[in-house]
Order: sequence, then structure tokens, then C-alpha cells
Amino acid sequence: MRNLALVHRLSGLALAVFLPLHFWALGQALDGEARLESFLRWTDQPLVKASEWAVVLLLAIHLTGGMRILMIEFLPWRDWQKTLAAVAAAAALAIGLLFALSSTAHAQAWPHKPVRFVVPFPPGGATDISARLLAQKLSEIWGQTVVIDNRGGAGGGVGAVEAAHAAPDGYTFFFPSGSVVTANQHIYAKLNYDPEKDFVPVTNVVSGPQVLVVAANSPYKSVQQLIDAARAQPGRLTFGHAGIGSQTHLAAENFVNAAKINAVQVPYKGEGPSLVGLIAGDTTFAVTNVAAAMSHIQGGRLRALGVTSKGEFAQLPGVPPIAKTLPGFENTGWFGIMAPTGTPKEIIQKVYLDTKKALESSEMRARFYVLGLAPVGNSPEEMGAAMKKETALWARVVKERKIKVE
Amino acid sequence: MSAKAETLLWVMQRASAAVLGLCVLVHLGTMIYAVRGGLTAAEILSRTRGSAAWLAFYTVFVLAISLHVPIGLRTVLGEWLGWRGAVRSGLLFLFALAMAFTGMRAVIGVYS
Amino acid sequence: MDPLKVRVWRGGAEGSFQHFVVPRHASQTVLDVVTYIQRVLDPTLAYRFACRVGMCGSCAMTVNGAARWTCRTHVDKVYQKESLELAPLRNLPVVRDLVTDMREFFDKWARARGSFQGTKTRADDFEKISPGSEKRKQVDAAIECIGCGVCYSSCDVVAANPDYLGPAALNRAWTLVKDERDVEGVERLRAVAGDAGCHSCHTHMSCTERCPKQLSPTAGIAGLKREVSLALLTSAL
Repeated sequence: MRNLALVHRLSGLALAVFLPLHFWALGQALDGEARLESFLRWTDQPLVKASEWAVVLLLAIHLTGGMRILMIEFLPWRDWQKTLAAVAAAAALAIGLLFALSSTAHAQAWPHKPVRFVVPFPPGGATDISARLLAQKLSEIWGQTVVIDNRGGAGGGVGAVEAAHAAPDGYTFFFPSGSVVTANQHIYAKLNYDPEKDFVPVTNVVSGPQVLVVAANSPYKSVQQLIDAARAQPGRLTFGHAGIGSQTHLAAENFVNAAKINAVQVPYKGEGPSLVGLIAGDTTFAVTNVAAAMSHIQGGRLRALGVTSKGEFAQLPGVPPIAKTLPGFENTGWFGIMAPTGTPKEIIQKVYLDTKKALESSEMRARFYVLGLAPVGNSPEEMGAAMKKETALWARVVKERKIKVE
Repeated sequence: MSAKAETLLWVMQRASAAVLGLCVLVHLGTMIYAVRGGLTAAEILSRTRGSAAWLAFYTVFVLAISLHVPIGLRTVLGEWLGWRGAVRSGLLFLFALAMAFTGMRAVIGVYS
Repeated sequence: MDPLKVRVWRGGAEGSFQHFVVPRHASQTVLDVVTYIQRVLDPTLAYRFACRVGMCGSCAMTVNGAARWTCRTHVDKVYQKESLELAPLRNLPVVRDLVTDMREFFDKWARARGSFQGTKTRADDFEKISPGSEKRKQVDAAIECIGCGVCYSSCDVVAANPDYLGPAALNRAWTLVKDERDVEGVERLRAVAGDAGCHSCHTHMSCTERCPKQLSPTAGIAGLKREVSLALLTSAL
């Protein structure tokens, strides 16, 4: 008992040193959200985390010793064994608490090094832009750099294979546009990856409609005019896209299918290059993501004829929905995070929650807004369910349009 | 110090100990819950800003600590350093005030 | 059997350990050893004893670091690694060798108001107290103290705080607080409260651990803490 009492006293002294510092530090840190945020990031350091554990241990020890004293003083126990049993019970409680803490510590230890987002398209496209915006915010939250690794080609397939083969340790994630994981399996006769087996959903980051664009000097000033021209010259009009199976390809195919016109697809190695080609006059039109087209529209290089959302799209006022010309037409593109199968559930949960948090910041919302993208941040389960529905849709369109790659 | 004053200190020490036992468990439990999936300033403040409940809880917590720690130190200073009387009392009173002040500063910071 | 190697404190507060070799017997107590040393080896050795049978507590001293009654300590129990170390009781001034000055111990007893205060005379009838009553059971659990000083000698707080009344005095005060016949009342509570009194007990429980009569001064002192707090809260203190 003497030794218990001594340990109780020493832990008390240690806490008496820690607590004033704790109060003072918090008082300083709570001088505004930014200060608190940087204070929290400081506490993410392993040394600080270790000392947090030390404090919890000290508290457990001190509380246990204190409970022993309170029990002896307020419950008239004479029996040694009873007192010891009570101390043991209190210690067990403290240990239980520590155990509960330790199971969350496992997820907290991640990330301790930079995290890689594999983007299966070259820089400049909507996928890439979305990934970079999110990566910047997540880097702030995690205190670790999130690196964008662009691997374009094969309609997103090259990046998919890269990500699928990565170790599922939570340090590599896949950041595709939706079609790479919901349509490619129907388009390609042979795929080097299995969207359903190789990846698990984490969260849908942003989604947004596409916009039907033509060059600024194009003769077509409305969706109807374009459709009429296509009907008058079947097989003559062309549309560029980011690659077979890409969102921009499928969005255009969806449009062409709905309008029942005959236009020829021209694949590029990404959205950025396809818009450059459109501006140069190499192709007639494109159905492209707002994010990629916005700067060209605002810069007067491209003209927006219609949006693929159900109704008017706030970021493009005055541009009518294609549904006005083709009733019922709608197409949404999305960009999300997936993880290689086998990635620990706690890490997936953390990435989902942190992404959701990041998307709540007014700064992020504003930046995505001007790109024509709305934050989603749904749960892995919700994303999985939505993907199931979408893949069924593309199976149908791909069949009807006879989109195939050998 | 009179028997009355000594007894009062002892009672306050034990009472604050009981209160702190509960507060510490709630505080640690809250921390475990909050840190799941990472912790951001926005998340903390969205929970505590304008919340009368958290304000009340942390005020009680801080005041209990400001009582408990100095009274505990009083014994250690007396037994291990041989300090008694006005010097000890004065120092500890100031320490209690300092803790209450810095603690409440943090509590107000999280509330407003 | 191999003879015993014994170290015995000689001197007062300043002094040193003297070595003796004592024949070993079966069923030998530490008091037997001390007696042999004084009678056969060195008549100048000073030590206390009386009953020799574990009733008076006079033979209490520090044996291998722990306070014990030497008449009730078998050598077999404490002789380890070929050494037996005898020293006077701790926390008390040393008169000479193994003898301590017990005045302070009993003075504190008096300061704790550890004596019975009654109002009845021999002309009055007996106070009828049921031995099974809660109060009497608590008194009975603590009443057997014979003032041997082992608990006082074992207490860390006594060592650190010269004013501390100590476990024996407080334990006795407790028995009187719980004695229905006693009328000292709140005066005694005032005497046992505070830095010098029950509030300095940190429940190290060395007293309870070492008491040769298996009493628990810790429990008695805890009881005093409760009584004093109650008196404070009912404004009686």
C-alpha cells in the first residue's frame, strides 16, 4: 500500500505539472479556428501523441489510487483483500479505457507518410482538377502530403491497373471518373483490371453535369441546330472526347444515342487535349465536363449550347438544359475515391469522413462551384449502391451504341 | 489552521476528487469519440460553440481541478519540503487562481 | 544448526551496529536471541521486555527493517541470508541501544484526547450497551490496543510530520468517539482533525499491516474523517 500511495502521489505531481501547461496551451490555441487547427496539427506529431498517452496513463494511475483512498475512507472496509480487490477493479476499468483508446489509435497512426492518389488521366481534365483540389485540403487535414500521380491512357485503364496492383496499406488510392469503373467493363473486350473485385468504394467526391460545347466560331448556336445539321449530314459531324470509355465519351454517346444522330467519335488522350482540338476546329462538338470547359467558355474560345443536367445549371446561367430539346435527357459525371481491395476499413472510413469534412469547408465549396461541380461526400456503402445502378445503365447504352474496343 | 478550516479543505478535496473522476471519464470518452476519423478545429468548434451544456461541463471541470490540485500539492509541500503556514497557503492560493483563470480562458475560447 | 549472525544497534541517535554470533535452537524467538546476547555475550546491552508471551507489547523493536514484537517473532520467520538485524523502534528518540523514549507516543495519545470522559458515578446504574450494536462492534474492533508503538513506528506520515498524532492515538480516539458513554464529544473531534490529526493519514496502511493485534488504525482514522466531516456539515465543529 505504501508503494501504491507513493505512485499515486507522484502521478499527482506529474499531473500538477501537466495541467497548467494544458490549460495555458489551450487558452492560446483557442484564439480562433485557424490557430486551433494548427494546434491540432501540432498534436498529430508522434512525440505529442506519445505524451498524450502518458497523460492518460498518469490519469488512470492517479484515479485508481484516488478510488482506493475514497473506498477506504467512505466504505468502512477493514479487509486487506477487499481493498485490493477494489483497486484491481478500478485498475481494470482504467485498462479497459486504455484499450478502447488504443483501438482508435491504430487508425490515428495513419498517415505517417505521403499518400498517393492515382488519377487515370493527364493533368488539366476535370478528374485531375478535382483530385488536386481535394488533395490540397486533405494534405492540410492530415499533415501529410497527398501526391497526385497522373497515369493516362486506355480510357483510364492504365491508371486503374497501377492502382489495383498497389499495396492495400492505405497509402495509395484510385481517383477515377465514374465511367472508368462503371462503363469500361462493358466497353472493353479485355480489361486488365476488374472494377468490382480490385477496388472498394471510399467516397464519391464531386459530381456535376457536362456541357455540350462547340468552337466559338462554330455556325451552330443551339442544340437543335446541331442535331438538324447532324441529321442533314450523317457521319460528317465529329465529337472529341477523353478516350474510349471516358465520361466525356460516354456522355457524348448518351447524347448522340438520345438524339438518334450519326456522329463520329474522335478519341484523344484526355479531356484537356480534346478541347484543344475542338477549339482548333478539328472536331465539331464535345460533351465535356464543366470543370474542363469553364475557362475556355469564359475565355471566349468555346460556346456552350446546352447542359446535361435536368434543369438549368447555376454555374452556366443562360445555357439551357439539353432536356429542353431532348425531353428526359440527363447525364451526370462524377469523380470519386476508391481503394485497392484489402485496405483497412478504419482507414477507408477516415478518408471518407475527412473528405466529407474537407468538402464542408466554404473554401472548397466555392472552388468546386466555379468548376461546375457539387460536393457529394457519401459513405462507401452509398457510393457502392450508386455505382451498381450506374453500371447497369452503361451496360444498356454501350450495347445500344455498339461501343466496343477489342 | 483551525480544525474547521482543515476539515473543510479535506472535504473539498474528496468532493472535487469524486467530481473529477466523473469529468475525466466523460472528457476522455468524448476525446475518443471525437478523434475517430481525424479531428479538425471546425469539428470541435461546431460542437462546443454556443453550447451551454459544454460550457457548464467544462466550467465545473476547470473549477474542480483548480480546487483539487492546489489542495493536493499542499500536503506534498508540507510533507516533502516542510513548508507550512502563510507562505504555503499564499502560494497555493495564487496557483489556484492561475489555474482557474487559464482554464476558464480556454473554456470561454471553446464556447464563444 | 549453524549459529545465527546478528547485528544489533548500539548507541543512541548516533551509533553503529555490533555483530554477535548466537547459538541457534528450534522454536527460538528473537527475544530469546536478545536475551542470550545480554546475559551471555554483552551485559551492557539495553532492551525492554516484560511478559515474554505477547501480552504487554514492551519488547517491540525493529527486526530486519520491520517493527515487531520480538517475543512473538520466531527466528525461522525472519532469519534470511544469514542475517538478523535488530534496531530500536523508528520515529522515537533512542535512549540507548534497543530502548526508545516513549513519552512523545503517549503525549500524543493525550493530545488526541484519548482518554475516557464519563459522567456517571459508582452510585449510578450500569450503562446498558448491546455488544451487537453497530457502534459497539466498531469500538470492539479497535479496543484491543496495548500501546506497543509498532504502528507509530511503522507510519510514514509520523516520520515526515513531527506533529502528526499517529495511528495509535487516533485509533484510541476513534474508540471513544464511538463509545456511547463518552461525553467528550466535539472537543475530541477538534483535537483529532487537521494536519496533526486524521486528515494527514494517506492510507499507506503500514499500521494495519504491522499491528500485532491485527487492529486497523486506518479504518479507525477513516471513521474519524467521516465523523469530523459530518460535524463540519452539521455546524457542530
